Amino acid sequence: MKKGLLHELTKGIIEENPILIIMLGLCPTLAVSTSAANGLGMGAAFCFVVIGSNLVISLIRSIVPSQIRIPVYITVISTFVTIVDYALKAYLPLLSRSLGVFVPLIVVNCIVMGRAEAFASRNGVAASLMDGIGMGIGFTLIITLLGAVRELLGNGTVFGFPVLPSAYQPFLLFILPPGAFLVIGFMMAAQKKFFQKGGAR
Amino acid sequence: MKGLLRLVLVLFLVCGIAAGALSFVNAATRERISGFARQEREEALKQVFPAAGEFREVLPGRQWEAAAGGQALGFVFAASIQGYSGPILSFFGLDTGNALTGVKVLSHSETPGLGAKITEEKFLKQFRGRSAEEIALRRDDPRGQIDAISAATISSRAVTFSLRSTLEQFLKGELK
Repeated sequence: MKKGLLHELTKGIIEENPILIIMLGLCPTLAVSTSAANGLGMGAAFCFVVIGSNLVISLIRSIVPSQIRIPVYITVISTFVTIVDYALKAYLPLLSRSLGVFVPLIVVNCIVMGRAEAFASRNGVAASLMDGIGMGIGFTLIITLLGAVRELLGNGTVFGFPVLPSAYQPFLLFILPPGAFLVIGFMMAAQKKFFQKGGAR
Repeated sequence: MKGLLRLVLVLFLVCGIAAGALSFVNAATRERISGFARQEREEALKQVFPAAGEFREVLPGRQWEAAAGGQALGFVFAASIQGYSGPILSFFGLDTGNALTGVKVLSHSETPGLGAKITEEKFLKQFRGRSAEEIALRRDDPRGQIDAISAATISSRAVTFSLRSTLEQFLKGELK
């Protein structure tokens, strides 16, 4: 497990990307990524939760008996999620409304839970922090990109700015749920083609 | 027994700290959250009845009396209905001649890019100046004056129907 802190940070972005490789947390990813702004907002909320929960769980891992680790993790995670939810409602009400129920649902996001169980509960504070940051960046990157592609094809805009000429007939399918599956499929294929290390699979 | 006590203690401690942190966050944001909701409602009232300056609540959350300089100009109503993928809440203003002064959709969860277009001015401006029998989709009713949004008939119909039925309730004297 001695690979250095930098590796813990970078692994979440490409090599162990939570969405494209580990394939966790697809429900909010597919549902929320109808626009680039939604993707970025969701990514930011997710970053806060995964970094915060990784930090706290790695701090308290030695005093938490293993029988009750799951309830403890859920309490820690849901606390961070509620903080994000309230903060969004108070300061970014419009974003909060368009993300809807998917912010509270980060509580049961399997990436956060997975990192808590598989990483933060077994590693030190610094490594867990790096892992959280890396996973957060990886998630944000993919969900924002997914949102941008869907918004571009399905609405002709990116971050709300018109990009394609007004003669472009928006391909609505991409904003609808099937569009999310199509785009993420192509993204996974691209990831495999360009970043997979020689013949691993 | 000692082990059990430790489990209880740790869980109790974690939950206690979490509850403390949350009550702090709640206290810090409560004011802003409720302030925003109030401000949003006031803006919506103003938007659907631009001529009025004051609004007095007649039925809590459902009906307001619109006035300017002490003179009653009409009412604002809240209309809600089940849309294509969730409830749709909208406000509309009604002048003394029983014609609509404006419509605004406050909350909905329709499909982005399709049903979500019910919030756009292009759709909502069609309601201005309409009387009850004109508030129907052209495709549903020969007297209807409202064009549905293409590929979002259900959402368009839901909004139209909720406005009309609330208005008819009022005309029949079922509201104040």
